[in-house]
Amino acid sequence: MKLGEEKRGFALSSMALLLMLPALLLVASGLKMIESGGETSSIQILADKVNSAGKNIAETIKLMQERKFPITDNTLQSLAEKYRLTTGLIIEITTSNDYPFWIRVKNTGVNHYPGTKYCTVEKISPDEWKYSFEDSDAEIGEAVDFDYDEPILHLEKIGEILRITIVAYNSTYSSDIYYYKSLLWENVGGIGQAHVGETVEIEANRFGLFTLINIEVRDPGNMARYAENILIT
Amino acid sequence: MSLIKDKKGFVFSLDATLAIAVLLLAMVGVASFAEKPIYQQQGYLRLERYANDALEVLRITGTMDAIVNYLRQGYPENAENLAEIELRKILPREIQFRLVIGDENNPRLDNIFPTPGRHAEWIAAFQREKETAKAILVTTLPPRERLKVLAWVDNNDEEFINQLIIATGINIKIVNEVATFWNEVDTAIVNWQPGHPYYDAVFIPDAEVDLAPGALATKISDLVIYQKHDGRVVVGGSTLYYNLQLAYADGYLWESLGVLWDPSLKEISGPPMDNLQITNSDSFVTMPYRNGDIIEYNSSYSQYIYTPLDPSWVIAKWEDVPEGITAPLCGIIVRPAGYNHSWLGPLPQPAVLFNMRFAQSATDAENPTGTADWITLTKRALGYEEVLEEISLYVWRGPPV
Repeated sequence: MKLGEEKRGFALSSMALLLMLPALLLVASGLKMIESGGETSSIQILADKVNSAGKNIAETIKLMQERKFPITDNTLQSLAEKYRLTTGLIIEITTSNDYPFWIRVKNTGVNHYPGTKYCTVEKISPDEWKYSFEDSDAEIGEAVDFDYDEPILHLEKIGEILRITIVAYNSTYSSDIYYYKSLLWENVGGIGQAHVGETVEIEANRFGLFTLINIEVRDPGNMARYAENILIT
Repeated sequence: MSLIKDKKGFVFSLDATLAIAVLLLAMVGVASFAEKPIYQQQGYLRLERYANDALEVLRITGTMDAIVNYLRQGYPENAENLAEIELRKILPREIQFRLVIGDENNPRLDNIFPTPGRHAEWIAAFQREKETAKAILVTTLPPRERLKVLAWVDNNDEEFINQLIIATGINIKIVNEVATFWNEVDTAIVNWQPGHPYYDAVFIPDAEVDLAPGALATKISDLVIYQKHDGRVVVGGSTLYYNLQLAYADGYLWESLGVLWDPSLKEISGPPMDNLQITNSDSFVTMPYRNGDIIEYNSSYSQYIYTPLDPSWVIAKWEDVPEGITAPLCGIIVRPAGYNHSWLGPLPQPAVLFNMRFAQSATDAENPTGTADWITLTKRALGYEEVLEEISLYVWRGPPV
């Protein structure tokens, strides 16, 4: 633009222009900070909300257990629904199967349960099952061969009796074998393959059971999630 | 500034200045537009957090238990005062609150605000407020109707009754004189309204006397008449051992409790009968338990050998019994509601018979055994069932009323 005498204005020197550019950059950065800062705070508060709901549900279930309040599928669904309606969060409370047999590995003190990678359960016939355990544990740094023969249990239901046989235990480790809360065999396996081939018979209703209650709370956008398992004994 | 030939730069016209001013205004506008919803959102989430944190503090400090316990024992004013004081301590001054205990459509307590009284003004302020946040805590609350129970209490049963009252807040009329007992039973029969018994239950944990001696011999059957009038009877210990003389009086009571009348009822005691096993957890009495759960018992106290009218009515058994006794031995028998009694026809409510002296065993001075479990079984047998309801806390920003 040509500057004639009849026209007035300001002269913007290079120095002034250089000063304006950082100012523009600062404004842009400020806007971005507000946006990302706000988002971070929102996520944090949302996570608190999810955590709070999850913890409250877990505490309520523990309270129900402590006060001997009947814990049924209906009461658990009612509990989930009450929190869902108030918080708008997705809440799932489920119960999982309670496989009765588990082992405690004597050498490491680790428990291995069905439903994990350390045990497979196979139904051989309507009244026969095979429980195959692994006694090594990757979580404590051991090499695991996953050949599932430490031990192998054969179960057979005969009327109201459950007959359990230790079919094999091929390991230098030894384990205790439990049926729910009751100890069936102590120090099974080891170098001498102790108790292998032995059989016991039990009445199914002579033992206490346990159930796992799984709580999962998350926001509809899947930005925050709370999960907890509670063992009901 | 004058433009000199040897100096270089841009000419900034008035038009350009105005254009930049407009641009800056637009940027400021965009900045405030972007910023405002975020602050509004955070402000609301912060309110929600206040509400969640306040409920969490009440729970962790045990205050919520105390509030619920006041309700259980029938002191709503104390519950209200405690909740107000504690929430005022927890929440900032500029945050106002309303606590509602129980389902919102039918609350048990809904007038808990930052200051006592002026409830109408507080409710108006709450309803005016456009931005409120809510947090809930679901918990077990006592039944809405306080149970009214007539209890026969004699030798060493007092402590058990005290513990039952503490656990449930049940309104219990305690008697230990025969004449008074029958007066109360007769009062219950006379004052009965269909579906609304005068006493919800008659509880005789362990009567060690003949409740119907001499001229009163047939009076025992009034307990069956009471059951016909929507009443529930829960009997245990040696009660039937001392009340078995007459087939057409005591026998009627036995039948109403789900067992065959046996004038030579056997009393046994001693090990190995120290563990009662739950065998039917579908019953309203044993619902919190699982089949196979063990209830501990002090085997120095007696048990009695009953023959149930229907084996499926037995919900707990003794599996390990002394020599000469046929296992299993019936432990708890629940006669179902609607049973057609041979004398009076259908009995609307169920009845429960315990074959052991659980009250004395549970509160034995030297060796109390399985106390919490026996209290649980007893309160459920009497019809006391807690319910799952929410406690809701609303918070909002604003001045106090």
